[in-house]
Amino acid sequence: MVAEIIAERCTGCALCVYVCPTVALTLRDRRADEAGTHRRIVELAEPDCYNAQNCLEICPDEAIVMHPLTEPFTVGTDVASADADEIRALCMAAGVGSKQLICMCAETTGAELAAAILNGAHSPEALSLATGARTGCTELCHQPILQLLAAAGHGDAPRNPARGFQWYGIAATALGLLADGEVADDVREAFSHYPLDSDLRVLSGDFSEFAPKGGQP
Amino acid sequence: MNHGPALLPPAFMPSEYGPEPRPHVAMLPSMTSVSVTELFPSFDAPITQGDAADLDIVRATTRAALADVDMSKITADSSVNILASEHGFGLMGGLPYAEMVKTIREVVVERTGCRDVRLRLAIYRGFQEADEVRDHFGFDEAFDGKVKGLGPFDRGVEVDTAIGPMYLVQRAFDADFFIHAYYDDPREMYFNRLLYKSFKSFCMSYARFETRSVYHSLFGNRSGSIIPRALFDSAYVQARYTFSSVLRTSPAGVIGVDATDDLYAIDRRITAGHLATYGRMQRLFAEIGDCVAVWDGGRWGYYLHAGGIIFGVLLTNHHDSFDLDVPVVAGFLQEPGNSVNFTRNKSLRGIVVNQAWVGAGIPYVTMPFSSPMYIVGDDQAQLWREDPTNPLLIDRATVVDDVAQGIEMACTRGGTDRVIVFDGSYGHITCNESMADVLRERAPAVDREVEQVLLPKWLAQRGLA
Repeated sequence: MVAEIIAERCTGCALCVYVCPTVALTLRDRRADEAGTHRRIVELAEPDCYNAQNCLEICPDEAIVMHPLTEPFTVGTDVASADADEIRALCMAAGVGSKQLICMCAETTGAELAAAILNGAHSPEALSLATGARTGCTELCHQPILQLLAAAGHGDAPRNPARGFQWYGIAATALGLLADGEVADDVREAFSHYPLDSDLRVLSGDFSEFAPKGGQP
Repeated sequence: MNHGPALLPPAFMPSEYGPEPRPHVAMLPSMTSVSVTELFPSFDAPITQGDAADLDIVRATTRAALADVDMSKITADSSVNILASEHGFGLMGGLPYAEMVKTIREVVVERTGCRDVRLRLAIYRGFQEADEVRDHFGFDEAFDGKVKGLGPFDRGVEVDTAIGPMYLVQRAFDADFFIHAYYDDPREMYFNRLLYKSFKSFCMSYARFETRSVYHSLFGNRSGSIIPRALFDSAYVQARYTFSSVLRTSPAGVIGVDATDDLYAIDRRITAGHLATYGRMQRLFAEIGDCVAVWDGGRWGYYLHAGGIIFGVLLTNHHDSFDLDVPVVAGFLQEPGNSVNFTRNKSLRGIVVNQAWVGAGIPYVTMPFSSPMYIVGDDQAQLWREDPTNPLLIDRATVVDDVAQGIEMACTRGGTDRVIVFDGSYGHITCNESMADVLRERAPAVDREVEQVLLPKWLAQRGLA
């Protein structure tokens, strides 16, 4: 599917521009021959539209519709295109699994995202364009992608557009509760009844206590 | 055992995210209903199971619950947002929750003289879904047009919490104060583990993608509720918080409304009640074994109920979700080089989609690999084909002409004769006779085990013994 802007309905409010994960939408002056009355209008770069539909959902004026693509295309980065050791190191540094599906919608693994970063995708939108990740639900993979970029030294990528809100910053994570490898005392006190030590051991890779109890593994 | 005809599920809100409403599976002659109070006699009788005729009772119950709530923060000149979350509108067709929300407004206006009471609908997919909810439940009339949706991709605000920065949705908090209007559906109990579930909206309804992603992907599911608690306790939220009003349920239906400014107290009451009721249902579902599930309702298939339990529980309940000694029940838990992906119940031999929303934010794209999916009708198949969340799912599913054909194919291929239907029902489970026999046979032992062994353990693990 690909988006289409309905010129006479578009008010140029730019909300769609602010939420597109691949930055496929931009704002420009309306041409004299275009329908509609507002001075500004949104323009779509069709090849960059990956059917996320955030624009469709946020548009208050029903000025965006989706159409089937005449020629569907496949998006992805070959994991073999980057050095395997560098991929593993980047995933480790970011605290994500290299074989894990980070984007459950596009079925993008940590390794594929790392390869794309190593190949030059240095912003969330560049990663989305290179892999298709963050263009489905646009939620579950959001933070691991920011973590991977930060681990690769690109955590300071400027927001695009500058006033947009397709992403903000890195939020607090469980591993941030550790101080010198242990759960910080104030955290343990503030959140009693949580098996924090056990959960953080699991998050750190120690699954020794994870033994199936009569059920399926 | 004689089996009577199946009861019809509650009516649901039509939506562009699903197909045109079609006949319910409960109307098939092979279907019957099993009462949850027949299975577990200790469940209290509900005040409603979603019937529009019961709304006066919901209204009166809400008013009674709000009678002693401190609303002194709110003055005639204040602005107040009532924050409602979308899954409340999937409970028994949504009418009881909508009635509670409308009644909160009425009482606030009466008690405080405040006229600027707005409704903020926290919705996953954005304004279009919010518009559907607004129109279907008559919120424009009830709120003098002061109704807006908010989604996880809306403009955010960074909030300092005890565990670090988090990002909330600005529009949820664009008034002087807010009221947390919630419901207690335990829903993904394999994720929330029934630890501080009453706070979950602060992370998964009122928060942006960044915060939601951390909850799903960068916390263990036993400790994930630290995030909403940290947000609730933050100075930013507490400066605006007034009180909470929560629609109380059991698998039998709506059982009341709990309202106070002490959300922790509400949560303790809900948790204790849920462990005894939903805990029994959760363990009973673990006894089902090989079966085929049918989606037959007006919301995401993942969140459709059968006897108050969502489909997602059947998909994942091969461990006891409430036992905090088990570190991982299901989830996207991550750790370098040794990932634990979402684990699924291999006994679920097939999923027949009679009617449900498409993914619309819920990824199922790999589900057909473990449980073959049968989608009824070309019109519904087309919706799945266009779904951005599951770009390849339709290539992995089978499109069938009608639901009976889908059930037959799923049972034959899966080697099972048990069928359970997730059609939004509370108070009973829609299923075929073979499944009904299993449920009735296993319930007494589950009842005893929960009462004598599991419930004391679950309560103790949460400091509630």
